[in-house]
Amino acid sequence: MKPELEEILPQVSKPTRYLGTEWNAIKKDHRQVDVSFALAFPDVYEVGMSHLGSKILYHIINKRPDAVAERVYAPWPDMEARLREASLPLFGLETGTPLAEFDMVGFSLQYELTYTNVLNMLALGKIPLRQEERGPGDPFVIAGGPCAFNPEPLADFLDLVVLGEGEEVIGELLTVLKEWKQEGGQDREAFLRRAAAIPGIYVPSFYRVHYAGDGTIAAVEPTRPEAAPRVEKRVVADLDAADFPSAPVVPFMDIVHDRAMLELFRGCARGCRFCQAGMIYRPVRERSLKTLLAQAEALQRSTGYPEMSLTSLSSTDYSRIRELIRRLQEAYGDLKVSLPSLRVDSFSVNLAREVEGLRKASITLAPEAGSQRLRDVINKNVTDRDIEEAVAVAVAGGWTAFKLYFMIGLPTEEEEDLLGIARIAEQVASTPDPAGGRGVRRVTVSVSNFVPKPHTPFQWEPQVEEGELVRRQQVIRRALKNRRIILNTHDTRASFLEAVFARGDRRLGKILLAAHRLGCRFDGWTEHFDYGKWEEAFTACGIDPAFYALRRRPFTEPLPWDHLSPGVAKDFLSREYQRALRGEPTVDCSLVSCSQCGVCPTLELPIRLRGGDRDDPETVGQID
Amino acid sequence: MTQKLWARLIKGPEVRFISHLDLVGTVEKALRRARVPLAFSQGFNPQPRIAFAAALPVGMTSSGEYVEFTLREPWPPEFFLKQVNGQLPPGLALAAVREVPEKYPALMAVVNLARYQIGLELPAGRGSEDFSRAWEGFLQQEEVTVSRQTRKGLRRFNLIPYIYHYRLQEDSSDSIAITLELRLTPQGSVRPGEVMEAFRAYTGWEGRVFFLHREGLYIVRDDGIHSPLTVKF
Repeated sequence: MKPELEEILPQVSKPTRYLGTEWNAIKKDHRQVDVSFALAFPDVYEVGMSHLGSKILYHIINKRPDAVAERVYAPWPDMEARLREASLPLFGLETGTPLAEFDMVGFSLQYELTYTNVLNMLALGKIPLRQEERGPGDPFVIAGGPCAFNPEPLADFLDLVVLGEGEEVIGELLTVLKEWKQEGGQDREAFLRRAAAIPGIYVPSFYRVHYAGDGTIAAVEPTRPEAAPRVEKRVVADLDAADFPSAPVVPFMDIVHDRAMLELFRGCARGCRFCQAGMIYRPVRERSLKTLLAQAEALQRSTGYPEMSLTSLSSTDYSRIRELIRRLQEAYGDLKVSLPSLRVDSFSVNLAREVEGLRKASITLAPEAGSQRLRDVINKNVTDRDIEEAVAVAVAGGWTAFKLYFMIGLPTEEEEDLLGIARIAEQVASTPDPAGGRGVRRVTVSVSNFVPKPHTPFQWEPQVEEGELVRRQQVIRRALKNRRIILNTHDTRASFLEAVFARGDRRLGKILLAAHRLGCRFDGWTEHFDYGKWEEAFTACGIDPAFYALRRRPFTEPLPWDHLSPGVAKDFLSREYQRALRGEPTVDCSLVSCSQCGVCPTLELPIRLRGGDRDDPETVGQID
Repeated sequence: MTQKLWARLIKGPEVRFISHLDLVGTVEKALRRARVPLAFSQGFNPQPRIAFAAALPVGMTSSGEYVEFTLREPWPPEFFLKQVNGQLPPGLALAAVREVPEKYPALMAVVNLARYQIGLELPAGRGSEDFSRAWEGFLQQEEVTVSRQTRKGLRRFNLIPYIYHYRLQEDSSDSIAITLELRLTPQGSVRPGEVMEAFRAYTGWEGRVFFLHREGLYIVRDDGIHSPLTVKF
């Protein structure tokens, strides 16, 4: 460790964030490799370390003998202050190499309110912020993750963007980078042109955006032959063959998801219309039971975690979920198995009951909307009866604390839907325990504000304006009578900014720069979020944020992300939008019939239910 | 048949910033990777039976932390040592382990003394005799109050009864080495950093504490001071 760092660490909170010596951390001599990559996560260590995608890339890059990957997270403000005082640049955790000395710095974009952290990390790393200011010797700054499907607000700052799953494309990119470096590595444009020829790679500076008189986009025009008019995402066809992190870094400190992660499948075909993940990660691809058991064994041996989480967008949908849980419990007696995302039905709750055993903290269910009508609009295929049964099974199973997740501001929402949220919460709170126990002790109702996202059926919808959202929060608050119900609402101004940047275009780059200069960072953290500074930035730049968040966009208007494709057809999204307004649900294509979203033919890839035959339907839903 | 093991753990400079709670988790994961057949506590939320004798303040290194492990089936102690050391991150190592009879008391119930090595600067113009005089004057007081911010609020206590023994040694012309033995009691203990802070506040001493290390934990009885790895009950 550098002596300057030795001096600083005793003065900051949670110093083990910055050690880089955790179990399974990989330290390589940069002089012995051809390319170096900083895996940058624009949030604090305990959030970034919980992200599976970063673990996968760390493993894949470091497996190459010619490459090194190190981790870097946004330093917490106390650490940032110390780094600035000591004039220490932000560094890769493993070797302390300054960020500016890496060949490539790759950010994972999970959330719009981390964008100022991207800029702040570049600034702390002494890397020129705007891509056009970078020259020979500067790193290439790249990004991936869900927000990369509309990276336009960050276009000024990014050299290139990776669309979709990174396992395969990262290797192709590093190989091109290595060749370019070996040829002298001076002409950045030459590298970017070669990179742009790789499927799934988007180079924002190779596209010119034309605007119409009313401020909307007229056209997006590629300016180099390598730049495709429409960049398709990358997707891993066979997850059984894909590399997975068999020995992830084990942090010293307690992180957000402090457990081993077993990824059962990617994609989700439930088709919730608000859900961006459900659209951009299609199609559904499962790992086989055999692969999962082998991976579980490797994780147990390499990490020693006492808990393993079965992750994916809707884990209880895995074809052989019961069999998997049974086999894990047999093989590892004292391992806690956990299910992160429970569907609201008795089958899922029964599964949770099996894995949780006697240790029951609270159970989380997400009905999302308060009425059957609105749940049909958003295609959350959960009925009132599903909710009632799920809760009854949970109470009978011994849970006394519930967390319920809802959204407000959904398209077509009315007073009745808001009262429905309160009604469901009240019902849960008063569910009797058939065994005569004390029943439900606490119901925590978390109400978030709906943010329309790109590449979803609601991408044309305006966000409900702030004052109205606050009023709707109050409607629910007033309707709640039971004192065992706790209502948590979200900051409407933060949701508004999220909506602005989610569907923003390149002109918002100035705003990000202005907000960064005003000192904005960690905007997703209530204690650091300062909306006044954002207002100042919008005013100074003469940009109206409402244009992005609150305007209903016509189907005919070119959207800032139309040249970026997750494989789902735009006309499927508009069809889904119209069905939503008519309150018509659409079925799960992995269970019933194809809904013609276009992803399989576009990516030439069928859905794969590799788990094999589903668990016997006769026994599904039964406890034993 | 369960097996009870007492081990000495070294916490080196690489891991000195790990908090006590995180250290417990780190050791537990290392044992699981080593496939040690840990015994678990009873109850709704069974926990592995790993008990540290006394928490070490964050930021301090130690050559003598003691841990009691309970295994659900016996392992030869040397094998245990080798397997676990293969799974501990840099800076952590088990130096020695001993199997103790089941009927022995819990380690944390018998350890009652901690020995620290402290390095203190002598400011310009002051010699070791100046320090000895100041130090002895400081400890001759009947009461020296320490205020500690805890989660339950401010705790105030007298540190004098916790001082068991000390030895001073001139380290070089500009520093002094203090060996300080502090009592660990069921009611609590004082940290060496708190003693040094109180000393500096009382005497206005300007030299900086540049080294702070826990040498070991011991059991003081009428028959002398014992190491947990050799004591008999």
